[in-house]
Amino acid sequence: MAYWPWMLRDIGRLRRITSILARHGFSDVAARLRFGAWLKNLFNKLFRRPLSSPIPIGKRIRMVAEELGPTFVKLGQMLATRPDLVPMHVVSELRFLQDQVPGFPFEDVRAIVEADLGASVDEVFASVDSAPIAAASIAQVHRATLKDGTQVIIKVQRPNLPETIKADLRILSGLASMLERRVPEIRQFRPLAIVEEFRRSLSREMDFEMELLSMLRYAEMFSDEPKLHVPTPYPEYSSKRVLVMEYVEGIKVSERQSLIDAGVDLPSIVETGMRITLRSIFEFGFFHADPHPGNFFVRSDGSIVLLDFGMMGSLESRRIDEMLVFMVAILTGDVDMLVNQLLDADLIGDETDLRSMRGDLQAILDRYSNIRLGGLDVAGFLAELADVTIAHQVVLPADLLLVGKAMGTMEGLGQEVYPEFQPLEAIRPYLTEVYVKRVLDAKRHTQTAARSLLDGLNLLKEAPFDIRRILRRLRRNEMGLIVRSADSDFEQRAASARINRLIFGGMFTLFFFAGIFLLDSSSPVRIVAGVVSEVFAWGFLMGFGWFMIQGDRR
Amino acid sequence: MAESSFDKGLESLVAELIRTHLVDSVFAKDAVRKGLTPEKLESLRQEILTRLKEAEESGLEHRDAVRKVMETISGFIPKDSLMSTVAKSFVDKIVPPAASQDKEEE
Ligand SMILES: Nc1ncnc2c1ncn2[C@@H]1O[C@H](COP(=O)(O)OP(=O)(O)O)[C@@H](O)[C@H]1O
Ligand SMILES: [Mg+2]
Repeated sequence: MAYWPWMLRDIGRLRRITSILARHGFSDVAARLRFGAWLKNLFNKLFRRPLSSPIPIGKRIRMVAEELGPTFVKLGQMLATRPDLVPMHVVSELRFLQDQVPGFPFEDVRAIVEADLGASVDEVFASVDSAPIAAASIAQVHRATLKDGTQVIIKVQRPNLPETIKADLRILSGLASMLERRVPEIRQFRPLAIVEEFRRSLSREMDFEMELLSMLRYAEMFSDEPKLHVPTPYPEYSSKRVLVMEYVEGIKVSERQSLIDAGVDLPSIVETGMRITLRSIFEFGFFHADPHPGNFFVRSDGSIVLLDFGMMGSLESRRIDEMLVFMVAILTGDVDMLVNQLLDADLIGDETDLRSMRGDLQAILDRYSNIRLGGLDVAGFLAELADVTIAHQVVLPADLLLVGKAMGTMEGLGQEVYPEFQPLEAIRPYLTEVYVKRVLDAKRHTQTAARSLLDGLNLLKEAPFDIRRILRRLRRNEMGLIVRSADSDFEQRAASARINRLIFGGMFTLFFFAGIFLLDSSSPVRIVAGVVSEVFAWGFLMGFGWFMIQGDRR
Repeated sequence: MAESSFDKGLESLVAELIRTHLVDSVFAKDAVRKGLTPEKLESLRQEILTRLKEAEESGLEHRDAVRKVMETISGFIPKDSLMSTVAKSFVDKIVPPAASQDKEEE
């Protein structure tokens, strides 16, 4: 037991976990927890073997999480976005996780506000409503009025939250590292890395200064969008644990009847919501990763108010490109485009049988395109896609799944507010247009070249052998052949994609290296030559692009 | 970072490459043709062509800079080496001397 210090420390909490598990029919697991021999195949048991209860396993897992409190609810919510890690029937249950918890006393609100803002509640606010309007696992929300009469809300973090969560995280990472050490089958799910990622996302969500910055950034992004409103935050009254923002009046988008009674134009709301979601992902690479109905208000003029910027996703420009190609391929059912993109993004392992994967993907795409008119279940679709790719040793990037989550919730929202809504028809033209514009954007390609210059520098450090190999190939005059082999044979394409990357990097690096070498000496002529050589490396990049285009056209 | 004339020249070249070699094939893709109505496709195509033309023309005067730069540097590569051949063919292909712009490659 000596090597389970985390367990001794948190023994009280652990005992509670055990008894909650037992009550929900996980007595087998609970028993194993208590006696320490539970590790073997814990996850397998949890997810695959029917345990002693008539209630479906996914639902029981959800109930356990709800009872265990904030950390586990949040963990469940995170796992609900990872169909690559958790079986589908569990995922769909975890989506319903509620974090409705009792509020905390107003005295604590007072204390936290005073500690963080350095002034008493009465000094900052003209009045504060002591009954919360909402209470969740991280924070609770009160209405208040500023001295100048402005209506605001105060979002205050639960007292002692970091401590509670820390203890739970200790237990989780203790469990995770045991699993990783002892149960080889589970290792591939990288439990420690998941707990780590979870810890990070949780600590971001607990930092209201971060949330405030996200609100400002989001509002700025959509300053040209009159139908979206982001509440204005008050940085001078905010801290890590306190967030004050403008109070907004509105109808929750989940209250369909109230929306109808208020006479708002439902299709246009769904359309706006969808447009904003898509733009945030594909234009700005900064999106609301938790756009569930409770975080959307609709105002009587038909504009949307977005709340709760605690969980944001962000994408690099290159990732946006990848994502666009994925989406366009999926939306148009183009399986070759999809497979090629997986190859280009280097997501496919050497052992993957491309033909059989293509077949499986085709099957999913076909099935989903047949139900197109009934509306596409984006989230379900991505989950199935994840299943297939995992079966073929392809690991989809986590951001794709986050995007999937964001789009999936948007879609659910659409279905709820306006059931005739057809997400596929709504998304497709927009994405196609963005895709075409990005692919044909000269400025962006020119900038990409500059970025690749830096990549080339890194390559230089790592790849002298690759360069030698490339030179050998060049001498054998294989290059033309390789670069042009843009046929539809996937095996060959996979091979040539890898080789192309090598050649590309290698050539680039050569020029670059020549430049550095020349720059290194002091003669002015050489310095000029050095600069020029870097420039040439750049030019090479463009030339390479041109060769690829030529190859494609053949 | 202000745009240098090299940037502009390069962008002009890139724009031309895209216009002459990429636009058709992108619009010929099944995925793209299925994604938009024919009218929208046509107007998008015009919009993009206009934008590319603008980039092309506004950088035209700077192109020579790009070519000179590239020629100069290829002069530093040992004359009889493989690299020199490769480099020369790049320069010729990427930045054809203004007069002899070969439209369609063999
Ligand atoms: N600016 C606001 N104006 C009016 N009500 C708000 C505002 N911000 C939050 N609320 C209410 O408080 C609830 C919880 O706020 P939210 O920021 O979503 O907290 P949490 O991160 O705990 O979900 C919202 O669902 C909404 O009902
Ligand atoms: Mg919320």
